Amino acid sequence: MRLDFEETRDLWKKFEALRPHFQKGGKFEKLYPLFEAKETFLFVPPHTAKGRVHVRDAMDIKRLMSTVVVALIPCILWGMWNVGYQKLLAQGDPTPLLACLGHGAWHMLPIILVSYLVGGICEVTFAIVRKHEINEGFLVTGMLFPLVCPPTLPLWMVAGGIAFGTIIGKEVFGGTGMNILNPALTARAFVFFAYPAHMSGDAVWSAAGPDAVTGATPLAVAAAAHGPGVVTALGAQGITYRDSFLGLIPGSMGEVSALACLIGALILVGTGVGAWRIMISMIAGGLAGGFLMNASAGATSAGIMHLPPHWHLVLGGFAFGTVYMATDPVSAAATHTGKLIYGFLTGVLAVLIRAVNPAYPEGVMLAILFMNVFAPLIDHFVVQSNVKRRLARV
Amino acid sequence: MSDYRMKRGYDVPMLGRAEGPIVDAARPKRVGVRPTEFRFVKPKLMVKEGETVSAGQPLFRDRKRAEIRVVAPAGGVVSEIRFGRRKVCQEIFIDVAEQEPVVEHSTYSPDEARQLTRAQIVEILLDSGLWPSLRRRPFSVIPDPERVPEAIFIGAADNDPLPFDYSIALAGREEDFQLGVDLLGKLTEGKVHACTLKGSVPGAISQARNCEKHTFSGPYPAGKIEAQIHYVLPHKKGREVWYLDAQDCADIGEVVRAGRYPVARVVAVAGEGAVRAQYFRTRRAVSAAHLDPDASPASNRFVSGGPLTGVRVSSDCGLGLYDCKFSVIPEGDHPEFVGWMLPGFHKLSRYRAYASAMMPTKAQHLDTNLGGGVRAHVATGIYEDVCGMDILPGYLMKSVLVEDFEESDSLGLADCAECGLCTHVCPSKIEFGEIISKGIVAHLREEA
Ligand code: SF4
Repeated sequence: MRLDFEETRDLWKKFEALRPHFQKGGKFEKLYPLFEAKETFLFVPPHTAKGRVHVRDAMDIKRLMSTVVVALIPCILWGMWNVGYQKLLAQGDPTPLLACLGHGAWHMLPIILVSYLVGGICEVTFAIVRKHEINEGFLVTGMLFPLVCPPTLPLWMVAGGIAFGTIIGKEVFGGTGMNILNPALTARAFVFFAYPAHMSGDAVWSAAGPDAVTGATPLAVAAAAHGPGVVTALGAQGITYRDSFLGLIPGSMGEVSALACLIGALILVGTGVGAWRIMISMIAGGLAGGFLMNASAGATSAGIMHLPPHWHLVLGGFAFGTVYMATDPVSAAATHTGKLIYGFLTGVLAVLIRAVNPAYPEGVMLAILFMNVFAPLIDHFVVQSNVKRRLARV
Repeated sequence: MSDYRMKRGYDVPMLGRAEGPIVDAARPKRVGVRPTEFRFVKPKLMVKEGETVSAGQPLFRDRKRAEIRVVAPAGGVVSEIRFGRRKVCQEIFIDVAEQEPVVEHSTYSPDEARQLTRAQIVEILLDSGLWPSLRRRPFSVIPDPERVPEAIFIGAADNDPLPFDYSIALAGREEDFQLGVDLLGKLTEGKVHACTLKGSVPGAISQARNCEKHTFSGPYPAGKIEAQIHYVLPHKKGREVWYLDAQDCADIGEVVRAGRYPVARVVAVAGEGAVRAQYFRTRRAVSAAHLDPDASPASNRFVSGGPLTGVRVSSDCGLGLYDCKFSVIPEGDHPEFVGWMLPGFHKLSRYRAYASAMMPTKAQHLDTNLGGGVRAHVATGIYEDVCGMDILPGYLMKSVLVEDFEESDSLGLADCAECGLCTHVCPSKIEFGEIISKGIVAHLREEA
């Protein structure tokens, strides 16, 4: 299918007629990035290859980023349902599918909208000031951030968080491609440290309101328990492995379901957009970290030390972080070997943070941010070994 | 005989491969030479418009190295010389005379020829105008006659998206080819290597003596001579090897035997835009418009060489000295409404994010459209997936951009086969190839 009929050509011509206004010397010269964005949104531009490579892959950044957004859909839908489900459950109401979705949407959509709106404004402003094209990366960032927030986050914090993430996490480094940290995670970390009461504790994960009986998140339960009977302790709170895998537990809006993340992972790896090396090695790292802790745990250590490794993969943001956050091509390691190392270390670290600091059991996001900082170093060593291979030729 | 298998690379499934059997093309009325195709050569013209030249007479020489001369591929009148920006000569056209004047050189019987010394052979090649057919690794420039290469490679393979079949080109030239191999053997202190694709070794090569034979398999660029050299004798400090095309090797035999600049050539026309996608028995510097007059210049791009490595030329301009095919590729200079949102059953992509991924090897319509807007570089890892030379193309590209040429060298600038794959797959639509080639020129400038 190729939408290439007369009307669309006319539309293109009308657009092109406006171009002079947006070019140097035109009335709206400064707004050129907006013009470019709008035009490339509606059309694949007619630009042709210039150099010696006359044919090009049909993939562009817009498709790349929108594929990530598509891969997020399972998480969004499941999250929407689960936010409503947890709310109705806590209020002791019945939980029919549509009611859950409706309630979920009521809490979730405003947060997503605000995130996109504020993130978009930041992106456009910087594009205009810096005179570069609007980067489609914000389509992903603007969606990732709400998904790792609790459903009760006030909208003004959403706005503050995404603005911080876009500006400090990305633009101060020089914009897309130059940033060291994942902007969505920067946003989340900012909100977490600035307003801890809204990002942690037992109350924030359910949209049911302060008076309802809310369940603690599994990680909090595991951290509070003692000794090897941690799985029993979780079971006593009604938390089973199956529920955790499916995502029938309270948590951040989009990250509760490991199943949804798995579907997303299949989309990302299947399309060749997501880095399978990071996903696989991070899972390996998480399991390794879990074994390590089991091995070093004593009879009285915190329950989380005794948590079987495979539990770590389905609790909290581990799955979501693995699939969508750690794989961000800009902030992750860039080399193939580097990706394997980076993923593994992130996995280990995520589990260790969970255990070492029970007050902050959600270690994944912190681990990713931390490893974002080290990714260039890991790459450096991989590049050096590439250089050495070359020098070693005889 | 050794066999190499390349693991990394990528075969772009394109439509419009040239088909046999070979046909005789009509005698062209006009041929054209492009002085810009020789890397790091500053041409000084030796002819004027309106002047009559003989086939084999020098048209221009390198300003710095006077002995490097490019000769007229036909006898006749220099009818037009086109200049580009900064008065750089772009194209020289010759109207081919009915009775072509020809420069005559001494002739040798094959036995006599095999007695020639290195110095004599060098002189014959320089005089006859065949020297520029030789190029040097690293960096693909015409070599210095004073230097002695560690080895000489003959390329008789092509597996780019519109491949050229050397068996067709070399049929009947076995003896000249063998003589060429023997003469080349005197230019190097090492060996002569002949590189082919596994399963399609031209007869001239399977019969050839006095050379090492290598076969290659795997995805493109497994058939590209620069890549093949990297596998046999990878670049290291101080190493210099030379290479040339198999047709040029046969031409070396011919020029010594017959004493005339060989003008005959087998040329293919390929690509979706070609009306006659086939092989032609024709001559050097022939134009695409002559071979395939029905291919429309309005809707197509004519490329001298392959779709990933060739140079865009006007339809009346001649085939490059190093090329054996024209690629005729439809221009993609029209907008596509919401193209990036559609399922994309007909979009060709190495990623699998379009519906066409369901049939990954099916050749699809492919035009010159960039496929999206130019964006900041994002390290997606796809460059490393396609680069067959153990290079990290993203890092190499960046080192050139920040002009850290020392870093470029250690990152493998000299290894780059200039295969064009990193540019082809780049979702940010960055001109990797142009950037890398800038780095190469900067390196050469320092070397000079
Ligand atoms: S760096 Fe790019 S052009 Fe050079 S060999 Fe690798 S893929 Fe080909």
